[in-house]
Amino acid sequence: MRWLIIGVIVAAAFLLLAEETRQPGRLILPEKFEAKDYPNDAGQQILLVWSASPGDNTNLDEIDKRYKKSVEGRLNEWKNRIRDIVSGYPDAEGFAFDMEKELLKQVVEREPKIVYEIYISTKKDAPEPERKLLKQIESNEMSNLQKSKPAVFGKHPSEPFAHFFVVNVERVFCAEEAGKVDEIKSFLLDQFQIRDSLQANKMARINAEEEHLKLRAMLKLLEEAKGSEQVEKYNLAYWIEEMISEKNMALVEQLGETRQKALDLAFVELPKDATVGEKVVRLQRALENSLISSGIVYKSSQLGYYIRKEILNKVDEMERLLEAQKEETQKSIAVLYEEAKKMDVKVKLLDRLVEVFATDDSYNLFRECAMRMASDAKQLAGAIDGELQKKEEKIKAAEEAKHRYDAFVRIKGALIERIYSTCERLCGGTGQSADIASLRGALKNAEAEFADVYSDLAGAVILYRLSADGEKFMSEATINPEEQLAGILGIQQHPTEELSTIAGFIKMLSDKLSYKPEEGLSYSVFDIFKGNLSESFRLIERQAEALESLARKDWFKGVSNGVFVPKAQAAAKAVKDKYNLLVEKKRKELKEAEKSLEEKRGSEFYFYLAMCRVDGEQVVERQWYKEVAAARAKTEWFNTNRINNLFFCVLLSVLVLYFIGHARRNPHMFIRKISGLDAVDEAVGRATEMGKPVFYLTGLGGMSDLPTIASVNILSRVARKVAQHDTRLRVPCYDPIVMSVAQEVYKEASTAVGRPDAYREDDVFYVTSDQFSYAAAVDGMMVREKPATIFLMGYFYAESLILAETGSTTGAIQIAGTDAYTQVPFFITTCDYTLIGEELYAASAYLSREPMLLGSLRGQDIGKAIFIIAIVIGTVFAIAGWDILQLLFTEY
Amino acid sequence: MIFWKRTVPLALAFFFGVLMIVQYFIPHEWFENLLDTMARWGQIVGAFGLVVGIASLTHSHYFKIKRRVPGWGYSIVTLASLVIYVVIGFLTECDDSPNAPFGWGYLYILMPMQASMFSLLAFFVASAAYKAFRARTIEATVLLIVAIVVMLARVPIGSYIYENIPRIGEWIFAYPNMAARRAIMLGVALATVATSLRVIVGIERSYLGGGD
Repeated sequence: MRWLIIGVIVAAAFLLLAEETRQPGRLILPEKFEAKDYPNDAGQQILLVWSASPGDNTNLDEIDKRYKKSVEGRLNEWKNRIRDIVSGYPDAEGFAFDMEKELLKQVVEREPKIVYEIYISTKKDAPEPERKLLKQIESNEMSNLQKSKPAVFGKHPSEPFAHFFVVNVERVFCAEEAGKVDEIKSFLLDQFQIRDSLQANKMARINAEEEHLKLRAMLKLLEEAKGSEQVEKYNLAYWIEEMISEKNMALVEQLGETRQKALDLAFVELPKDATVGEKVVRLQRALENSLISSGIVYKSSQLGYYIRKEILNKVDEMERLLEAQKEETQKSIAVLYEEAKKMDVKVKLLDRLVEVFATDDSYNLFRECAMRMASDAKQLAGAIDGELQKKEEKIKAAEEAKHRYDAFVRIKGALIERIYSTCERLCGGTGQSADIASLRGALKNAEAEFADVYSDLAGAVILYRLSADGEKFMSEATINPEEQLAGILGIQQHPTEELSTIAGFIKMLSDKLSYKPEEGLSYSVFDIFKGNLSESFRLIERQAEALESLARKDWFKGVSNGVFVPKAQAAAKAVKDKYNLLVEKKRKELKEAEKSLEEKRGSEFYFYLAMCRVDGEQVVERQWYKEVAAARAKTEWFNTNRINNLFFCVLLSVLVLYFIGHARRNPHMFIRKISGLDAVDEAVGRATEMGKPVFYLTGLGGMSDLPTIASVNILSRVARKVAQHDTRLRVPCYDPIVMSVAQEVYKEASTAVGRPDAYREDDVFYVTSDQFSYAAAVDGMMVREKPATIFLMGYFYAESLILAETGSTTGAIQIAGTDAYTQVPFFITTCDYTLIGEELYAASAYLSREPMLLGSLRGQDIGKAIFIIAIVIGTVFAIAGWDILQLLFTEY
Repeated sequence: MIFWKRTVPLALAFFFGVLMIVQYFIPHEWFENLLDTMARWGQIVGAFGLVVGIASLTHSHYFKIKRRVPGWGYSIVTLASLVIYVVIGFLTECDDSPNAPFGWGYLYILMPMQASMFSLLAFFVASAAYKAFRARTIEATVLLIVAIVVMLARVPIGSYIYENIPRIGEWIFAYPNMAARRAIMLGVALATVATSLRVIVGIERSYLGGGD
């Protein structure tokens, strides 16, 4: 008995001691820390594993629980005290609740956090300063295993108490070497593009020379034409268009000035002794200028309207924005006031709590917490005050901005009004302004003046006709109407033209100048003027082309003289040589860099493990694990992580192969009935009776997809039956390679049943590789050809229902089969028979009834039975908390 | 002849099938490179396959036009579209921007037409749902009830009728539905293994044509 009591006491002491060692805050190093090659890759990763010792205290949940337990009694007492103290205050319940929550949180937070740190080095026994921190790992931290990450962390799947850390050697240790290799590789890749662009550059250089010649020709032309009316007209029109497109304010001013200038030019007084020719020229100019003016006026009014509209819209928008901003700020101020009020009460309460507990030593921890919370609350209150102040300032600023903006709007408004009035003035208001009136008056005068000129000219012509020596008369009269008119109209005439032509010109001029007051200064007039300008511009272009062709000739001379091409070729060759040298050099560098990376990657790396106590961001204590883990990443010949996969692969293969062998010996094997496949004969027979085709769709997969392979296998069986019944089989294909295979399968199947003539190449055809285009095309065929039977076998996506529903409306028998479980419900509802999932793969064997194929089905079914048993056992194990089966089926 | 039409393809299927299985278990760099190379081969063969496809398409539609089979007008549209789009592609260097003819055609002709086809699905789903939910048998009645619950779980009115309806809907998705899905997936996985084995060892030869 005595020994029993002693034993109990010793056991209790031991338990207490053990509990003490589990006390939070103590650093207990793991028992084992290992590094080894991670076999899941081509020698690029190292696996670190360290056990969590029985005293592992990095689990925050555990700490939380322990702390809650240890402070439970005191917490309850404190809670009651809090409730007593705050009972009279507004929202006392809420405050008490918050306070309790904060208190608990702070109690838990007082426990310093314990973390693991992984350090790395390429040196063995590297002193602490030379170790490089790779990662600080907190408890419960997990991440997915990805090769792209330098390092990942998790719990080891087979050892629940072990930590699991995978380091990518290339990224962590050989970043510099790998970076160099990547850099050189990308440089070399770029070189291919550079080489291509060199070729392009060569051509571009030649083209540039040609362009340069063109430009020179144009410049020469413009220089020669400088000062001529055509160029000025063109420039003016271009300028107007450009300015109008920019829609700027200065334009309106400039337009006004231009118009004024145009009017000045038009109506400047002629000296009394001006010749008839001068008068004609002036008159022409007057009219043209007036037309320009009318165009300007029209455009100005349009422009004014747009500018006004835009500015007004902007003003409205800004006002709305300011209002919304102000409203929002006011709302947030109200919220902040509420918070400030609450915080004020809280601060007062906390101060009161601190005061109450000031003298009571048993509440040290609580007092500290309350003080800390009070200080936090004060800080928060201060922050809220600050925020409030900021918001108020913001309101003020918004109001000021509003005032400023009002001023801005006023100024803008005035500006708009000015623009608008300018435009209105330019437009002549309702079309009766002084300017327009004066313009019309001036034009009337000009018209009268023209009548004088015309009569003078007509008189001159009569005199010329009467005179035996016309030329003399003309020189005496100091006019050369032919030259003058030709200059005006921009048409080159031969000097020895008949004078009747001159009369014709005069008539033309008269027509052009005829002014019809009832038409006013309409936009169409401006259009006519613009048309004239365009004509002039085309003339310039024609001349430019002529010069260009001349330049081209020079250019060809240059080519034949070997000026450009050899130069370009030489330059290209020089660059190519340089490129080749560079590439050669870089390739050597790449080889060296790869070698050095390979060497470094295969060398031994060292890992150091430390446990740390962390307070906030600060590590307050660090203990190093005494052993240094070293490992070398190497290329493995077997991935041991996939042993379970290999096991199941071998198991299933053995089962399938065994039953294939078994089927050879025992050919009459029972296979469950699949009604969809039994209906194939009926479906094909129906098509034969109706004399309509059978459609067979292989789905949207390629030949590398197993459902498509299964579908092609079924096609072979169906094609035999179709050929035997002498029915037509149509196979619209989604993939060209599937089409080729399907053609071959159909052909061989027809031959195999002694009906090679049944195969028609056109019946297996490619439609498109676009999902919905395929659906549309096949739907169209179904509706037009109304097949008797439709097979939909393979992998289908969203088009499944579109196809099956259309097929259903044509009245065809539909047999579908897919392993796309999302599409199975659609087929079930719309098709007569559906092969679900695995039945698609069984179909070929079922239809052929070949013993060996049927044997594989039996093997497959046994495999399924094994998995069903595993699922049942696994469920029981999972409920019992044993994860052994789960580990067996997990790849890691 | 049999050698080229049977023996060689079967030998190739066996060799590459086994190679790919072995590759899965060997993490050696050489095998990783081999996998990359094979993937590239696949892409290259696929690109050549397109030529075969276009030849088939052209041939099939040309004869439809020639023989004036019903609907031959559509064949003209198909061939004209093919030629025009190829020409535009060559001329504009397949510029995909919406303002270029190539990109414009894709964005404003093909895409809306595809969207139209896709939108047909909504009507077909309604029609299929009607067929499925006619409560003629006990199973169909159960299906109807479950479908109504799931539909209600997906719309706000469901939770107005009964607050737990969304939860019931989620439960149906997470358990009975998931169980059925996984059953299909498991069966498919096993069937995939068996079919692959049949193809690799040369028992399944239907894909070569004759079969036996």
